[in-house]
Amino acid sequence: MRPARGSSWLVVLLGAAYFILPLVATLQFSLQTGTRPLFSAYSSILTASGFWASLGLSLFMALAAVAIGLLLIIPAAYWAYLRAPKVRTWVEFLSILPFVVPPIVLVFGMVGLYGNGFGPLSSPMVLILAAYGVISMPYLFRSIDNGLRSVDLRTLTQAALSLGAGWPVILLRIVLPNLRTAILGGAFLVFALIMGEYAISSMLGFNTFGVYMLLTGQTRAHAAAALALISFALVWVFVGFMHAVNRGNITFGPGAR
Amino acid sequence: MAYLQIREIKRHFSGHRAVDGVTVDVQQGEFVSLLGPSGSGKTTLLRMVAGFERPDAGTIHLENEDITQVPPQKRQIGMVFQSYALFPNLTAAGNVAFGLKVRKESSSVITAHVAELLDLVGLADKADRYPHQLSGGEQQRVALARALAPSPRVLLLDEPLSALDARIRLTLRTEIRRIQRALNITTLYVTHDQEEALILSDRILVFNSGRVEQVGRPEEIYDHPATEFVSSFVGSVNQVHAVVQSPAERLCLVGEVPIRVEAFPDSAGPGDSVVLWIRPERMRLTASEGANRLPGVVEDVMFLGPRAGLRISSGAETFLVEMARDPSRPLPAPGTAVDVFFSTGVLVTQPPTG
Repeated sequence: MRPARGSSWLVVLLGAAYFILPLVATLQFSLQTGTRPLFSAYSSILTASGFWASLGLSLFMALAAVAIGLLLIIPAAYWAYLRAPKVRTWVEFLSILPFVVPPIVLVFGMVGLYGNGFGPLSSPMVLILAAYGVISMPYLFRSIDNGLRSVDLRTLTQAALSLGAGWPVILLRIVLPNLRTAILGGAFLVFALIMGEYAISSMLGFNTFGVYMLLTGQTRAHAAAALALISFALVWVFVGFMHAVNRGNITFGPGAR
Repeated sequence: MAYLQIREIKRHFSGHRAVDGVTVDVQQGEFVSLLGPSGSGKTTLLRMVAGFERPDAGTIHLENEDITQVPPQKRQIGMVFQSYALFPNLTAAGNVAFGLKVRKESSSVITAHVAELLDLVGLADKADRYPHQLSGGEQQRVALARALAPSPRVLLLDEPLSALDARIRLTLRTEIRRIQRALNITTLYVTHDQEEALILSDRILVFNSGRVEQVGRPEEIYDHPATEFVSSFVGSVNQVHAVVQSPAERLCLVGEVPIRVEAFPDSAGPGDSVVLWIRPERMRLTASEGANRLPGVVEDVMFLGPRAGLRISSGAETFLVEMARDPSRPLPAPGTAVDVFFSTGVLVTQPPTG
């Protein structure tokens, strides 16, 4: 039985209110500047050196985490799917471990094990990127595993093999293009996760975007509200970018089609 | 020496013998069908020839080269899959060009060869379409052109028509045979459709439970089935139960009616039960010299387009008689007593004991 049109609209309105009202309230609060100009909270954020430095650091770390995650997860998920279906259950189990290991345990475990005696590998930057690689796993693995199942890459791989293609060609020309949506979806989740990440970076002493947001919130309430909306806008910019890439409006390199 | 030699190939999956000691020789340019029910081992054998499965035992030689352990990408064996397996991110032309690009052919050679192949499969005007913009039949044509593009030494087709509707299947199977003959390419064709195998093949291998039951030309398989399984799997067949009366005179009794056959199984003695396997179209309502006669009663008449089927009972036996339909001659009505005639050349087996 089809639900009544009126009740559908009611659900839509309730949903919209749930998502939009907090944003409107935050916007309204960020514009309550008293005697100062209307957008002073925004201008103070955008002109603060700490904002750009922390944004740049988080951008770098988010991109690095995506790259590390993709380099590790795509071959692992593809291998588990194609060559070792029995191992897949274990890979899946491993991939969700970061959900149950609290960041503090992860950080202290990593510092305890690798913090000393591994030369450059013991540097905080390597440790934080390694930690980000770990917490990215569930998001990337889930997306890529779903992608692998939706396009029957097993038969496509066999078709490519029968045409004489080697593994690098298959990975670059068949697997990656056909997993584009899944990869972009997973990459975006990781990107958003790392952009707002606070616990690991603060424990390892990095002033990332998440840390900057928290510190701002503790001292300048109106500026923190402006910062929340700026970060929200950034997220939408990246969603739009991902959508454009997925629709083929933006392509990378020759022969993308 | 045969072009493709498969020797004593075995493959098992967790205790189940999928392929159990298959040996077959295929000559260059030959079209050989692997025919059998689901799970009979035909696809597993094809996948071992392609290199996607490694045999537990046995060897595969192609042009005198042992390819048993050669990886699939180095075998130069093309394959067409049941699910088409076209690359969704490439156009029809891109799919066909894939194997040529892998071989690093020049772009002029690729362009010319792709156009030629798309023309061969009748899709020259759809080169720029993506797989999702093509019908099932068109996708399978592209898959065929793609498999042929790198000039493979052997073409493998794994139930290529089973996902298509009946009309497209008829058209495409004629196309496959035409193209195979035109290119004279050695072809192994997996199917569970006996009609497809009989129409397309130079030779047929009938598979059952991982073993080859019979190898032969289509007419040999159909007219002289070697086993009960082949007889029942290829074409439809009546099983008429009889009792051996005199092995020396080659006489048995169906009910009380004496029937002569060409040969009994060696182990059959007087009084033993046997089964006569008789094709419906080999049973007639008109007498011929030396034919056996079995009286019966028409139970039902079936319209089969250009042919008619009559279900006839004779004592405890019921069988089907198939004949060409002549609109000017009415068929006997249900309840009519008729005599059914068939030759002595029928397969006779003993029913399994126990």
